[in-house]
Amino acid sequence: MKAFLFKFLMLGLLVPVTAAVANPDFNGRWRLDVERSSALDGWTAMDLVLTVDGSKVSIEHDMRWRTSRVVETNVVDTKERVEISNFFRIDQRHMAVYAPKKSVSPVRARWLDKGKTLKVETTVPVEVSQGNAKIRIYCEYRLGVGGEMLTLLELHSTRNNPLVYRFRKLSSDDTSRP
Amino acid sequence: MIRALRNSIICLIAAGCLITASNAAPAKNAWVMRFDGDWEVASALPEKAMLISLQGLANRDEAQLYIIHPADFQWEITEPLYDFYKRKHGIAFREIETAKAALSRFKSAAKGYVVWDTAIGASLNVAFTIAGLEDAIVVSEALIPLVRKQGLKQIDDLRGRYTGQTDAQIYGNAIDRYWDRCNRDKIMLMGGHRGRVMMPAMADWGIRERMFFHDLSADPEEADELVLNRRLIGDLNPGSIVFGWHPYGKDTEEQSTMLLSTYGLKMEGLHNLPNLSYNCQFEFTEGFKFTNNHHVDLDERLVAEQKVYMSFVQSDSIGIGVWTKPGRGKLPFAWQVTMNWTDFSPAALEYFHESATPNDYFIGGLSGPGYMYPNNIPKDRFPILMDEAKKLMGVLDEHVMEIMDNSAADGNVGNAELFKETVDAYYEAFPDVLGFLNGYGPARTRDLRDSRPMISYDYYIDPKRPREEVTADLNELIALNSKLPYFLLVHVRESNDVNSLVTVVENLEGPVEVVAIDEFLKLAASKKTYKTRFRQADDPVHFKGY
Repeated sequence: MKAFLFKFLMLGLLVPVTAAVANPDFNGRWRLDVERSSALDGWTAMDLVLTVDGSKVSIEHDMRWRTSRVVETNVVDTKERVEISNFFRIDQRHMAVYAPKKSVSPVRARWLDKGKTLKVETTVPVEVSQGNAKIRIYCEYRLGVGGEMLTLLELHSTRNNPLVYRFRKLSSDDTSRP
Repeated sequence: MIRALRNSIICLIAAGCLITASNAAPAKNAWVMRFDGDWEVASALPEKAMLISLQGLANRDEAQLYIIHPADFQWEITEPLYDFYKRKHGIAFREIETAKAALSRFKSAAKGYVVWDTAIGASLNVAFTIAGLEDAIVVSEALIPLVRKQGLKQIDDLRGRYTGQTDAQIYGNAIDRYWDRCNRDKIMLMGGHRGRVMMPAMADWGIRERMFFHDLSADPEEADELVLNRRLIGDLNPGSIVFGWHPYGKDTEEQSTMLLSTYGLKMEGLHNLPNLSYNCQFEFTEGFKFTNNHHVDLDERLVAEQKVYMSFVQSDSIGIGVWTKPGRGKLPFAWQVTMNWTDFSPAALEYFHESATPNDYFIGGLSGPGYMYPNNIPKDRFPILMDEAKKLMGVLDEHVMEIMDNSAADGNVGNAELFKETVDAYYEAFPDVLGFLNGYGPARTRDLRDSRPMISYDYYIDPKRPREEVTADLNELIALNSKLPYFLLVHVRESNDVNSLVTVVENLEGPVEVVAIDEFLKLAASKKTYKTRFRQADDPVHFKGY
């Protein structure tokens, strides 16, 4: 009985540890599959560059519209809540919803589904025509079977339609930009 | 003494003849050609270029030749306008089927031909310049036999002249040769499509008016072209108009328009706007007076309720490609009128007004008496230009001015804000308007002074954006701007389908009411729930300017 209880407790301890480990396939550059994604507005192309380093996950957004490029990175931590200055959200550029010049957003991240899903939650301040407002954002970065596809699901507290972005992984020797 | 008297009498008679000629009504008999949509240099462009140059010459003294383009051409009203000329001006058109027949009919308008080099795009612009100055038609090598058969003689031959030269070298040479003799009130920026396809449908106008043609870049990184571009526009008379459009792939619309604005010049596009040489010879029909479909009086007061007030605006010269599409009239729409058409194309404006539904409302723009970026207009030119705009708005019975300054933007995205000094200048220049609209893409310049609001677009509808996403975007804006009344101004990009917007409106959440723009501005004046904001020094910019 004691042995069973010990095993049960050990298993209970191990499960979260296992869940907290990211699938290494997350690492790399991911290119947006425009045809299979929610329509980007204003932006014409996007790469995500994901880098897992211990509990920290760097999410780099390499964005382009016409000749303009924007590279913005959010570094989240799957162990603790972090405050991120000027958190970057994939915005619909044809809406008058602007990032404030300076902002701090509380961000929580966690690995789910045995490290195949990264959940990120935050609330970002925005500037709109009536002044300041906030959007609560819930994201899941889901790794596809085989590790070649990544799906980003994004929910806004202010939007009833989810935004779904699908990415294909680029090979490690592919240095192209969007 | 007798000789002097005789000379004076001759002069008076001659002057009288000239006055009579210039006041003469357009000819009641005219000819019409139908173009297809093939503008490929390797196939149909050379013949079209020849016919357009012929049109410019044939229409120099009287309105003789009109061209109808397919319904899917960017300027889709050529057929309805043709009907308008027949119906309202009593023009009897005879159709010309072939280039040969057109040459045969109008060859007397030309003194000869100039050959352009199909391998060098810029040579077509040089040929157009020569055509205007020398009364020549422009032909490619393949068309020489056709014009020779009509008895036309060669005036110039550009084949080989510019081989291996850059555009800067070509235009530098053309400036040396021809600029002194060209019109200094108008110039033709014949850019737009370049390379495999060229679409110089506006060349008839440039030839008729003896303009200099070029497609020099306004990009500071193409310094050799920019310096020539500056030289040309710097030589123009104050208040001049730049016709045409910026060259695709060389520079951007934002760079080009900003450059012209810094010289206080007006832009009138596009490069493929057809038939101005014909249209310019007509006036409004007798007794015609513009009467806009006003929903409120200038001094009326409205009070906004706890609602989301939404208004749609189509700019782009009465919404290029939209007016004739089904669905117009189902929603209140404001249409930005290219006010200069009062001079160049009055029949087109009359046609728009005649065919307007009660839901169609006309507003002035863009930024002034032509397309300009007001943050960049020289301070001494601003009041003069805005006086001109005010007069045109008076003629057109317009009470709303639309403003756009994309000089710091990148396309339809980015900084479209107005400096406070610019806003001040508009409020001073237009004391009698209902208000101002700003932006193209979304913007955040807003103000309210006395009863005149300045509202920027909160949303821009990309014609390609799926309608369910447009609906979601608008619903999200409504959620974010939660204080009622919320004033949601929407810019509808050219070629958007009005019917699809009806569905979008039906799926919006909340107490939404779509109102006409004059009503919208009056309501926005009654309850200011929007924040005053001007362009700030540290707002992001995508083009730093010159």
